Amino acid sequence: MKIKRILALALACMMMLTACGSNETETETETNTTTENTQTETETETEEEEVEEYTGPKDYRGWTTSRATFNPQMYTNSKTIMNAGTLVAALAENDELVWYPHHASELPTTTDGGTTWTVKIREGLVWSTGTALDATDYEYTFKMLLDPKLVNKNAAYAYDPVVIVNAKEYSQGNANWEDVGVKLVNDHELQITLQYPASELDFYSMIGSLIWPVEEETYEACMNADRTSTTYGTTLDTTPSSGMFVVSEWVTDGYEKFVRNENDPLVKEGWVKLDSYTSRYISQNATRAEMFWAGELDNHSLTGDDYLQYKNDPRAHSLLSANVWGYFMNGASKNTIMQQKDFRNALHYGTPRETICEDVYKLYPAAPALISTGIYAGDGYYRDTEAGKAIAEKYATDYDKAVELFNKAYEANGGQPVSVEYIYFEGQEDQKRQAEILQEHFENLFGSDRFTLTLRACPPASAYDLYRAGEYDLGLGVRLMGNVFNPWSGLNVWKQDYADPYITGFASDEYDQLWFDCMYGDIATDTAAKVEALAKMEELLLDYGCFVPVMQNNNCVMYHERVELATENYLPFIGFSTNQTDLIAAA
Amino acid sequence: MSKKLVKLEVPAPLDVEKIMQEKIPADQFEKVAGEKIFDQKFEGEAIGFFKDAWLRFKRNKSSVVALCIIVFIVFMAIFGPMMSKYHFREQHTEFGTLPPRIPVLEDFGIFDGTQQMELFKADLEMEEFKDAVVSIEREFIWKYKNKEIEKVIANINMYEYTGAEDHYFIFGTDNIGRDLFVRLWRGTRISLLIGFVSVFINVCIGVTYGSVAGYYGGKVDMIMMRITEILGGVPFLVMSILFIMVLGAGIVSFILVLILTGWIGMARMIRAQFYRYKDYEYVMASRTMGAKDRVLIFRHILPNAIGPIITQATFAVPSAIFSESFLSYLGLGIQAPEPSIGVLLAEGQRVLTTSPHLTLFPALIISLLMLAFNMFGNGLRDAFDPRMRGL
Repeated sequence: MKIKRILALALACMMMLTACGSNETETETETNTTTENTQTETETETEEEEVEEYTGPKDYRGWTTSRATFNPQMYTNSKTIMNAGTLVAALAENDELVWYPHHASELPTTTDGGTTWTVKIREGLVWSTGTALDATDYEYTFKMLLDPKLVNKNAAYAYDPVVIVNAKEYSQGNANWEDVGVKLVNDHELQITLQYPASELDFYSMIGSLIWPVEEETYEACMNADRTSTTYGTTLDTTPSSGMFVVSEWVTDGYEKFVRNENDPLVKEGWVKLDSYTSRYISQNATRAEMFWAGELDNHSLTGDDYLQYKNDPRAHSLLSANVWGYFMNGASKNTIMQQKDFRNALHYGTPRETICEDVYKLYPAAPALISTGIYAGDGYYRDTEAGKAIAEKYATDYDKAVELFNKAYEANGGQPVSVEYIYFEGQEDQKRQAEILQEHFENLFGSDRFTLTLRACPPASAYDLYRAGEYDLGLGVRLMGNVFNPWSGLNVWKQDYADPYITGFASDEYDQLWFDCMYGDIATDTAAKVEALAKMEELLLDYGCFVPVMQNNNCVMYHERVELATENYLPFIGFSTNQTDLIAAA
Repeated sequence: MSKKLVKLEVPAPLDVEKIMQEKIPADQFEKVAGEKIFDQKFEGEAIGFFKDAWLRFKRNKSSVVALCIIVFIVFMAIFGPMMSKYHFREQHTEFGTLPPRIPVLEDFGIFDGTQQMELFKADLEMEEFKDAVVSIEREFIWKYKNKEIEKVIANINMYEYTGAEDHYFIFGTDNIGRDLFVRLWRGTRISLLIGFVSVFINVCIGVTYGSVAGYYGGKVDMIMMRITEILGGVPFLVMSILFIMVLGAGIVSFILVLILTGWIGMARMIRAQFYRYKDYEYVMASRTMGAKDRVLIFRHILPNAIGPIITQATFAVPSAIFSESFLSYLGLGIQAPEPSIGVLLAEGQRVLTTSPHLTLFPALIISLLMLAFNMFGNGLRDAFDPRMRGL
């Protein structure tokens, strides 16, 4: 009996010692060993331990870039408006994207095939100021969003790509509010009438998710005398919250802090685990990296230089970007060689996108076509369809073809040496590298006696101004795809009547017609036909040579080991759903 | 007793004008001294102004060392790029950010092209790491969400890893595989060019402006000096950024930025020298003899300022190089793919933690240049100082 007791005591002591030792995160085992001693065993599951649930404070330490306003009608980066509620919430559940009623009491419904939508608003919703939030707030929000005097940046969310009847006309001062397709049925119900039928996905992801309500009392109090601008959302006092989080602190160019909104229906239903979310304004990636490794931040984006070390790290999570970066080509440039289609196509086929991606960006894949692999067309990815694959194959890098096309263009240009200017963004080291590779590569490929590429660094805003004015030959940039579920809507930027065009010389009636047919015309509900049309649109753009795709910026984010993501899969529209993140340990 | 006033006879003043106009025949002059000169002859060689300065400069050992460093850096800036088989634009994109590898030294484990990396032990089995692992510094267990993962800190031969075994990049490469040795000396050449040219132009402007202001004085001086004060009051950084934004980055833009206000210091110094010397007797004598203003300024007064000009210009060179580096560091550097020390530093700083060699060598060169030019300038100042004569 005594021996048993002694053995039990010894076992308990051993267990205690083991437990103390296991608190160390790193256990040194050997030093100065050579490769010969390396073992193949890599990862071992520890014995099943009862891990106590973390009950301490859960403050996520994120970062962001500087913010001028929380006014949801002016601010364009929707993912960081954590304090704004929506009709419908996009959430992660079982590693899948689900649409869930947020301020709506149920998902909006339609009875006539997608033209008229009924939105019922929950009862008992309140603003962080304590005032009630109901359908009248949404009606007021639509009215202010489209106000012709205010000219809000996000007004287009009400008419592009989902078109509310007379919304655009009202915003341009050509219609009365009574004619706009937003009608208040009662304090908890709105009826929204569209000009063209929309699918549930389009309605939820646009009107449902991108119309953030504003509080009337504060909005009016912040309005100037002639009602042409408002200071709503520019200070903490003028920023009422209605989302899953409430803005509790905000120091301009310092940090912002959001705390969980206990009155929010999704919070009440247990979708939110964090107590608070603190975002510090850190513009330099190197600073963020230093802070992350020092344990002061919960996430940071890897650069190509450190990707090599961490690509297999379980903390590293790859994103699937919806955008393809490359450079614009101005077919309407005064530089005569730029006006030649053969020359522009030579640049497309001759661009060393694989080299740029593998050796400069390292973590980004090369993209020979305009539409990213993260874009959906129907149930699957567009790039996985036969039509999508055929385009990527047709426009893949081909140096021989590039030289052949260049020779043709060179002869057509009178056999004179040609010089073309390439604009890249100032202060962006990787983009400068890309420019230098292009310069060296093209001059070697086409012959430095025949072709010269001059480089010019420009601040991004100035560069885009030059694109709008058509004062450039080649210019680095991107046209963002607004909605991953609706690539057709994002392609409106290449239409002849687009409001904010970059001059590339591309103008095609066929393209415009295809776009309309896909969005609102005969094939709007026929996915297969829309995919074919999408491929044709992509082909028209690439064939003309208005934009040379280079890479898809699939970033890789490192999350601190204490972070428990809501989903292991990167989901369209919400990514890793930051709002639902949990923390399982103290910082 | 009454006092008697005595009236003294005062001789009439000489009419100098009249005397000057009178022609005195040569035979009315007579030699006071004889033909023989009794002065002692100089036994040594006559020492001129510059030789005297050089003799005194040579005595200052630190300045001589500084001069040697400057000569070496200038030599390397001119000939260094020719010593490498790589061109400054030549890219080996697959050999990006390789650490330095120097023959002979690599046998001693110094500059052997290795880099320490923290890896998962499983990574070492991957094809790319197979021959590249030189040694493992440490193995440890890393705990991640109830999993124990074996990690190592390993020294990786980056030349093996990237397939560059046959190459030697003695200062390493940048992230598109360009030889840093060539780019650094090329960049030094550009920085020195910007420094020397801008200082030369500043000296020309400053000397002319300061001379005119100092010589004429009065209203001319007042107006000219107010102009310098207004120009000097505009913040350098703001003006530089606006200037580069309008003209675009480039060597010419940089030189223009540096001469916008760079000549003011020189002009003030020269003005002060003119105020000091313009009333000296020899200047008055020359003026009396009918010398023109141009002759007085450039032949008689300005040479007195040669020492301070050279000294100030010497100090201005590192200042110009530093300004160029500073602006480049802020992202306003000269146009790619041309390097300069500032551009290389700006590029290196972004990857300081992963590729420190990209910052180390440019930082070393600019530090040496700053130190050497300042020590050289100190030596020149002492050498040209007349108070130090004979010491």
